[in-house]
Amino acid sequence: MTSTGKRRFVALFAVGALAASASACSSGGGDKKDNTAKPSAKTASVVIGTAADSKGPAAEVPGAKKGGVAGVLNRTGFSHLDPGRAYVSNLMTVSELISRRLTTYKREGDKTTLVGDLATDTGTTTDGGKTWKYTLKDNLKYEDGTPIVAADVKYGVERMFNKAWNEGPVWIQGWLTGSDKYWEAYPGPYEGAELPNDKIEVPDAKTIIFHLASPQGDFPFAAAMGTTAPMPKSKDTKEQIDTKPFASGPYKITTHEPDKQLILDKNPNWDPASDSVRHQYVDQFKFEMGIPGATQFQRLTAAAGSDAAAFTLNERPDANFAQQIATDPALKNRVTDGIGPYANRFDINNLRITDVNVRKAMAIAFPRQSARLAEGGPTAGDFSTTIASPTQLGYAPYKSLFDGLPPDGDQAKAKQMLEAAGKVGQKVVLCINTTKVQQERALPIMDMLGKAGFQMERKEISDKEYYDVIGKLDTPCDLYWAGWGADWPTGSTVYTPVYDSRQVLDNGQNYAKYKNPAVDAEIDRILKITDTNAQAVEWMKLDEKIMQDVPSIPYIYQRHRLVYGPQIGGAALNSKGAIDLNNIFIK
Amino acid sequence: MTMQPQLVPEAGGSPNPGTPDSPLSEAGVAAAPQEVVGRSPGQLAWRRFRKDRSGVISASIVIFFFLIAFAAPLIEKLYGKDPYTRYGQIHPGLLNEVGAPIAPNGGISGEHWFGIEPAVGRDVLMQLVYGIRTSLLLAVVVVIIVTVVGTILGITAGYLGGKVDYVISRVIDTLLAMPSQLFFIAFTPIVLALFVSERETTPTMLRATALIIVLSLFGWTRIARILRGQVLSMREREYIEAAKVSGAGSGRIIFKELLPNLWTPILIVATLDLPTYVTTEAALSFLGVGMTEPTPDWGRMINKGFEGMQSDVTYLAFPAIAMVIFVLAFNLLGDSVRDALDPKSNR
Repeated sequence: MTSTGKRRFVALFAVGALAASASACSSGGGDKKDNTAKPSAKTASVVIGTAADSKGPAAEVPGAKKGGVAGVLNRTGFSHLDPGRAYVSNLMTVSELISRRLTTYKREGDKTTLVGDLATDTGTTTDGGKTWKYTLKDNLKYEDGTPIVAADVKYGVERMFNKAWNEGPVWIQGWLTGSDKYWEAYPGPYEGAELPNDKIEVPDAKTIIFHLASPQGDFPFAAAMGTTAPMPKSKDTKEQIDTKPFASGPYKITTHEPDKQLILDKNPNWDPASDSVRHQYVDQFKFEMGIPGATQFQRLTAAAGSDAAAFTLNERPDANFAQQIATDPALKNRVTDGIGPYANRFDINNLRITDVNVRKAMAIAFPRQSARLAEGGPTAGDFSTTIASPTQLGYAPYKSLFDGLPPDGDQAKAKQMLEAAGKVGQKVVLCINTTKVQQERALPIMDMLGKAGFQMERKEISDKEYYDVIGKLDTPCDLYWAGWGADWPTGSTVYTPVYDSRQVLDNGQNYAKYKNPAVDAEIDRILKITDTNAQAVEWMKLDEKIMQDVPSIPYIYQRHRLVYGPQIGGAALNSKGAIDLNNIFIK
Repeated sequence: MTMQPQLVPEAGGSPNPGTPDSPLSEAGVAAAPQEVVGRSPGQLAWRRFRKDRSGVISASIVIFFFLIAFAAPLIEKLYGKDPYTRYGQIHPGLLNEVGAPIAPNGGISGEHWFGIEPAVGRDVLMQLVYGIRTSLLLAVVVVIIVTVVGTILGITAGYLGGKVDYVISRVIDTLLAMPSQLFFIAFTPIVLALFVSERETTPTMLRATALIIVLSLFGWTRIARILRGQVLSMREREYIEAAKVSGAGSGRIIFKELLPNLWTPILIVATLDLPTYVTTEAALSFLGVGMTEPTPDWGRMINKGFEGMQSDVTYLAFPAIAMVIFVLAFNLLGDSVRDALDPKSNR
């Protein structure tokens, strides 16, 4: 449970300084109401699919054609393509296309279903989640035509016990050994030993059984991460896998020049009948790396030459571009729209601002509407009232302190609360990074909280160090933006790292430094519930309980509007807020 | 820097041949016309400058910019808006829901003459007017520091020679070899962190001081280099020899003998340096290490305007045009000053 959301977010964010292209406009912004158009995918409910859902081939995308080259633009290079080490939304999206795993997500419209990928279903358990059994499908092959066997899945998991590679997801490693320091229990296959049968059992070439230390109802979700991607021992090139993984999906890597380009060609040994989510429509994916966000928008809006058949992997446009989309109907038709897994908030340093009424006053005075204008108003996302994202299983809004409050907060009321608490002149250090969005967002916050009687100070932190500074226990900051995306759409990967007092440590993810023993106890209790749906209801109750202490100010549910060229078909968001590569075709 | 203005030819092709003040000898001394009038070199330079139309125009523009910078609070009073209030966010009907100005042309209206800033909703005219202050103040201070330090070190190196020259020249070489832009980006935050508690807002003056320090650190090398070369050639001249022989000390020779002959290059470099620092400061703000919000700043305005070019070109137009006019005017002025003071150069 390392820096999931954080890492993914770092990659996603820095959208700070984006721009777009030409078409000089002097006609004025206008005040058309359709600028507010709500995201089309409101709540993407997640369902655990059946064996029938897991059966290939995947349903054809209407109008899909075969052939052509799709260009993909990305701001950064792909630092990790080893499926077990990819833990940032764009890396995970690419890795899911190349490397199959035990389970995966099928996204149809607003509906997300967890289905078996290599496995025939999402896993079966007979003892309430302590033992998980998977059976592999028929005719599974790697890029060189050799069959995928259960022992390779086991070896793939074993590799990820290597301590040096802990930048990837570590859920399964921790659950198998029952320890956060899983590498002490088993150091990985490079030391010579195998994981014993009482941890992972491979009775035959098609069956793999996981024996966990304690029941985990979320195991099928964790199995959708790259940790369970198969790896034949003979093909393990260790570090080199990170730049050129051994493909099991519909595409294989033919060229990878790190930080420059990545070319994926069809894998002829991939059998569509064995895969219920992926397609092999385009002949080639050509990724261009190191393209700044602004350049991506300019190129994709102009859509000249090969850019007509290109798209951005996960770059969200900024405020200026929002206006361009709103005024250009042709462009509007080639932009995705939906909510990703990220809920953004402003965390309050609970170690320094200990009075709950002061924190409440901060939330009431907070000018959410003005702040959001810096990133494009409603196109950045709807205002949030919960910690949970609408994509979380069981999401249900409850009565919050924002009900009935003006969108820019009520500074007079906040001032009264502050006076009642005897804390007028409470010093609040607002920490921002040096990007344009954060600087502009700080202006109304400084102003309005100042009006409510707080003594506001602002501190700039470099973009790179941002999470390190706010993650420190003795951070100088009192109020700071933070975003979190769950690893899978249940509450298990939200409340555990973000509001558990045991995560109040240096570089911990409880950035609000919120400590409430009652909440810790609840988290432990809810984690033991193995019925995922019953658990989801409890998570929402916990969400409300935490928000009564106002450890953070909920801000927005991040909306993902990603541009694609006019020749691209089948573009839609995946569960990570990037464009789903599985259904892409060239019109 | 060889942008030659459209000069009125002084000698030979003078538009009014025969006017008393036009024929000048090569040395810049008035050749005997119909009537002999004694003029100092300063007077001559001034006459030459006055006849240089582009010089006069650019000088007026530069003076205009300085006036606006000085009179900013007065303009604020008359105009009734300040550069910090977020008009568009406070008053409904100015910005639409995605933060773009509702009125055409970037929200230009009787209330907001140059329109309003997208997203934040501040008044563009006031931002521009106060932005000049930021840019000019920083640039003028840096030019003064750089000129004084550069002059002293340049003359010292050139006149004393030997070890002193060696040390100063190597320092100059080192500084010139360093990528200054990268240095600014890396060191500005460190300089700032040294002086401010991490729980306090960085004062604007401190930020300005830090910028001035880093810019000056690299800036003096240019003028020092030029002056060192000049002095190297001058110190062997007869009048210096004469001064030495008659017992003058180094100080006297430097200040009384050398310096008066160096005013021309100093003035020229200084006038050409000023617009360079205005653009450098803007470039640093563009890169995010210059002046930060909420201090009005041209570099940041241009950066923001550039990003929003396709949706609100007006917001880019005002600061960009203002910057182009200012830098162009100052460069032309620099050229004219050089032509007036040193008519032999670059002909």
